[in-house]
Amino acid sequence: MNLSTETDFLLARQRAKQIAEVLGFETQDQTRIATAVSEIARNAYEYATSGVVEFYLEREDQAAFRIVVKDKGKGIPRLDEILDGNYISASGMGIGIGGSRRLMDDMHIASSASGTTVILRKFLPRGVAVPTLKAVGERLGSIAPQDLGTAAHTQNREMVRLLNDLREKERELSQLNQELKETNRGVMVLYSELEDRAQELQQASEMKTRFISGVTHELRTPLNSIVSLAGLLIRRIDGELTAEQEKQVLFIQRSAQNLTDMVNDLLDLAKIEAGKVTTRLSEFTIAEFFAALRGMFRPLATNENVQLIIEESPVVGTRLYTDEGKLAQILRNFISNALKFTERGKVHVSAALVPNGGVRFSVRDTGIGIADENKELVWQEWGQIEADQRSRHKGSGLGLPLARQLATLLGGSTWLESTLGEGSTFYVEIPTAVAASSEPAPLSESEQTILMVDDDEVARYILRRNLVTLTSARLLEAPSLVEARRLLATCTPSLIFLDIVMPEENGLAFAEQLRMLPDMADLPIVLLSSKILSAEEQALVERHNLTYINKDRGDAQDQHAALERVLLNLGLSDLHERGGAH
Amino acid sequence: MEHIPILRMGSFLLITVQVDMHDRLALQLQDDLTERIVQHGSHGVLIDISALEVVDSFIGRMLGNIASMSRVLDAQTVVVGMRPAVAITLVELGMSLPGIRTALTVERGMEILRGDVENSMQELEAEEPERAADGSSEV
Repeated sequence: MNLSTETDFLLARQRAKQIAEVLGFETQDQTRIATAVSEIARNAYEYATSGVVEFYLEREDQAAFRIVVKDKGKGIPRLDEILDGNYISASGMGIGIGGSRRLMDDMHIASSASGTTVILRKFLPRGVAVPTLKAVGERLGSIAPQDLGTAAHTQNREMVRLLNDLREKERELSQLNQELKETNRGVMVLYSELEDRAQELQQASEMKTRFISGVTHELRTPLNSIVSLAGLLIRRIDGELTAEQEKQVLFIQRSAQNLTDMVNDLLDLAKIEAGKVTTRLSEFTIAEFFAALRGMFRPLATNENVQLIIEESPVVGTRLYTDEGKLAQILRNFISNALKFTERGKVHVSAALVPNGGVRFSVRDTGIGIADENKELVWQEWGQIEADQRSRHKGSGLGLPLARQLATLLGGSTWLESTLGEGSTFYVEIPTAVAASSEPAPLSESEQTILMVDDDEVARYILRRNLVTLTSARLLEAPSLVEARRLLATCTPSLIFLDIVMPEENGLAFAEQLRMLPDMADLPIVLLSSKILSAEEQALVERHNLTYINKDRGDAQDQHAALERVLLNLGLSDLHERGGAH
Repeated sequence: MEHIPILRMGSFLLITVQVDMHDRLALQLQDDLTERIVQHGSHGVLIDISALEVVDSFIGRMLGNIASMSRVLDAQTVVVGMRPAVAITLVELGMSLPGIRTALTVERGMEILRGDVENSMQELEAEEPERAADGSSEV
């Protein structure tokens, strides 16, 4: 038994008494042994702070109970005096050791500076059978030796161990926490880097869009002038043309138109990517739509070996509610693409209803076809396939990607089937009805004067030419905003066409000023410009109830139709025959 | 911290030691007891050690100390219920428990204490320092 706490010697003497009892000692002797062990063990604990108590059973000669108490203290000074009973202890009576010797039958003390060993021996009573060690062990095991103090002590030790465990756990936790914090910090840094990167990308993207819309604006203004003027010439508005002249003008117009289309495609794509495109929904039948398509491609069908068939199937009576212009753009791209790559044969356009409430248009050609490895490439921007046929046709490679983007915008999808050398079929599938969105409310009817404000003389000229075929209203022209203000002071027009980009002032700002005036608050103002509106400008347009017509969209006929729509909405149209196909 | 309970009976205090006293507990008892004697102005202390199987020199010394301190505080101490084996062992050990009076049972112990108190009263009246043995014995 170890002696390490102050209650340990209590246990030691209890143990000694129990063993003595098992060994057959009488009560008196049990008490004697216990007392002696108590004395010696206490000394060991008190003077050496710790020690060991060992119990032995001797069998030689005369059976005896031997108790050995060892400690590693400094030894007992003046041992002889103590044993003689002459020593007076400072702390007690100095009778412990001497008394113990009297209580036991034999006592031997070996003390040195490195420790003390005390051997106590008590002979077993004669005539009592010496029990075997095993029997003693069993008897002892059956006695619950633990007193309350010991239990408490054990519990204490357990608690201390638990506490240490807890402390260790806590340390681990805090370490883990620390690690987590560091990881977190790392993540935060990464995150902010990502954010920076995203912002840079967004800025780059915005810059690209701004650049494209800027460039196209610059490109389209002169291009439009060419196209429109050529259109005026062809329509013999300024007198007859010779056959040769007409051919030349047609070439001019077609070239300019091709260039404009390309620029428009580019711009559309940029706009869709920038999320600036809104759909304009209307209700129409497939038959009406096909009629418009036919009208559009009749003048373009230049190759006599290729036949463009737009199929009249039973489904053409189906009414669609979607953006007709965008759908037309998709099919136009498909058809012109098909026409481009078909040397001879036919291009077949058809429509079919699909089960889930959609309509599928297909454009089948007998052209060169597309190899499997190129089937994804054609949907990518600028993705052009190197081919013999290819070199003969010029294009931006934007048509198909734009068609795909537009189809997505209408809630549909595009795909193709093709066999190299045999032809391709392009499909677009869109829902028959797009979820309705609010249309701008029609403006009320008003007076019969129209004011045109544009610094570009050509633009004013084209507009006037277009307007005179549509309305009998008086047309006023103002080359500058100063002039416009002057004219506005003299009369109140029922409609103002306003260019946005003007040298001295922004048309939008002018419109805003007009809205401040009480009698101009409800005046219909149409912004006629080739400028692409920014988000702020768009908001401004909406806030001040302005109408915006992009004068670069479509050809002369398209624009004509757009103007007609505006005039019809305002009740200014003289109900001349409809000029536009769609 | 465990304590050995100290019960108050009239002008006496009764301590029944029922656990194996280790040293710290014994010292604690010493402190508690002196405090209570002062607190209640007790004139006698009964210590019942009938539950103790072993009384070694330390406990014996503690009992002696308690008796001495109580006497200084004007209280007599009687140790009661000592087991014969313990008594024999104490003697063999060489402990004489000086200044401690003993009795076999609590009742006898109480009588001794009462007698003591009466005596001291008479002494105060008669101013005659005479002590009655009353069957008490000194070990």
